[in-house]
Amino acid sequence: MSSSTKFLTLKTCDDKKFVLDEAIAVRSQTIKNMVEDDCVSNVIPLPNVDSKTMTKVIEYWKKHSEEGISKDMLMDFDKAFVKVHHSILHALILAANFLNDKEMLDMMCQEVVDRIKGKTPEEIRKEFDIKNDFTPEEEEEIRKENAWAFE
Amino acid sequence: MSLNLGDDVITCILSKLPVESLQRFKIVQKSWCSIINDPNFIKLHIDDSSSDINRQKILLISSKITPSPCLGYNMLAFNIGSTCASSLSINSKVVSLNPPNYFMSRDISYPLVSSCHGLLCMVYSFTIFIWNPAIRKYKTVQKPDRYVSMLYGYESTLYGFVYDSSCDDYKIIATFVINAKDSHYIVGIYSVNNESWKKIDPVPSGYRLFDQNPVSLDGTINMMATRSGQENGDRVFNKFVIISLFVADEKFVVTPVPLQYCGSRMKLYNFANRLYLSVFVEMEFLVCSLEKDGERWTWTNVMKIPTLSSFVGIGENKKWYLDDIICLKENENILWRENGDFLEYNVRKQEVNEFTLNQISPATDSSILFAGSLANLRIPWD
Repeated sequence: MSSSTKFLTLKTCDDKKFVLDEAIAVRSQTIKNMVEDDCVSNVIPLPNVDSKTMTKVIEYWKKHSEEGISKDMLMDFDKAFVKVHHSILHALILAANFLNDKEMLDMMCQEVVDRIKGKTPEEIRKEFDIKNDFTPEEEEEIRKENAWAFE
Repeated sequence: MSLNLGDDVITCILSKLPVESLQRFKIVQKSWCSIINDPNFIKLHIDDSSSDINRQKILLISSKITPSPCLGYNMLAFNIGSTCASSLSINSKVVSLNPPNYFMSRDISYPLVSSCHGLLCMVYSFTIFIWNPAIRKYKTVQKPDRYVSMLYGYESTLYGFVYDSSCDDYKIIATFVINAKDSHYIVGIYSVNNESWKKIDPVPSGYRLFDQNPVSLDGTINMMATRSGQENGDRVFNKFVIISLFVADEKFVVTPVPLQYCGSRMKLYNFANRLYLSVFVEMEFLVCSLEKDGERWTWTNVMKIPTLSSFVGIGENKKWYLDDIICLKENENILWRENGDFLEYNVRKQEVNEFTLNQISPATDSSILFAGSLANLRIPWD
């Protein structure tokens, strides 16, 4: 093992390559495990992450790895970082989940929570692009049981 | 673009939501409904919310301004909210909690309330209720008075409410003060699963308990007490201890309060799953925190507020006379309550911010913290 900086090459699903300091890349538990298990050849493929998303992830990692950065500065950075359209936010969450960066995942899930907590079920379905798979009767049943929650 | 976040991520998001949103989101999709109803998810949600001070609600119990024939008190709750002082303002949404009708018709006395996992244990003169206000379910518990009062006359009772993870059970601890002067106490423990009271070992002798609500934390019930000693032939209570009952093995552990933390108006709290002791020592106000290390408590962090006593606390001509902290916020700000008024002390800037909430009665008597949850009992609700 040498003490000099080691670089890893990450390849996203759209075949873009990112060269990154290993010390930064191991914020991802997934990459860290690969490095530790010595199964890193030349290029680490990230089949679940596109280059646009990866650029954002690396921006986040670099900021959070800066030396001497204050807690307040990071909080401001995070606040601005999550101010994106929900489709980008969801893509980032999926990337953080795949890369297994718990800190980043928690921070972004919190942003989703702040956005959705006051919304109606209909608005949620739209935002998450999910279909209502309840029959009207089933839906009515649950609504009745939790009637006060819809007041 | 359609992205399926997957159940893991959805679970992570849902676990951070307030309980009111969870109730509403059950009808989003079947998979959301089954995550929210899953007992493991409910546990995860409880763990997350009870260890985060920002997710707790402040419950205030106050006398009604307009007398009501059926209920002699008001129960109001509002969120602590985010970390800045301005967020807890006159605009904070205050919600009125309505105990089920049953409570009102039978017993209108003022309840003693303690909380655990979003469940409220409400002790009235004749009955005890375990109530989850978020799902509007309650369970009646018989008071233990019957068998005890036949044997003894007692002065008062302290009630604690705690979760015992060793048997997935909620327990009510009743400490009967038989004779405070001679420090004689009898302890009863109620298992919600077994629906029965039993007597356990008494509080170790030689201690006199404070008349404060016991503080529940992580399978323990904690009470402040003084230890008696001999001085010039007289019995004096001059040493302070914390008496903790570990409910799983029903054992008492006595933790002496170090001399430098002994003072006046000592009080225990649970803020976001940590045990705290507040105390006035000389002209300083101290907040110490205790860490559980197996069956022992170790003293860790101390927050000293020297300027505070010149503004509030001890002494004459003080506008605020406060010893009831509501919470210690994430940014270490301290929130106090004096009746219906609030005071937030910014420890870093040494600034004080006073505010009143419109809906809150000035006749507010007690306040507790609780984190709303979907917690169920293992036995059916009433």
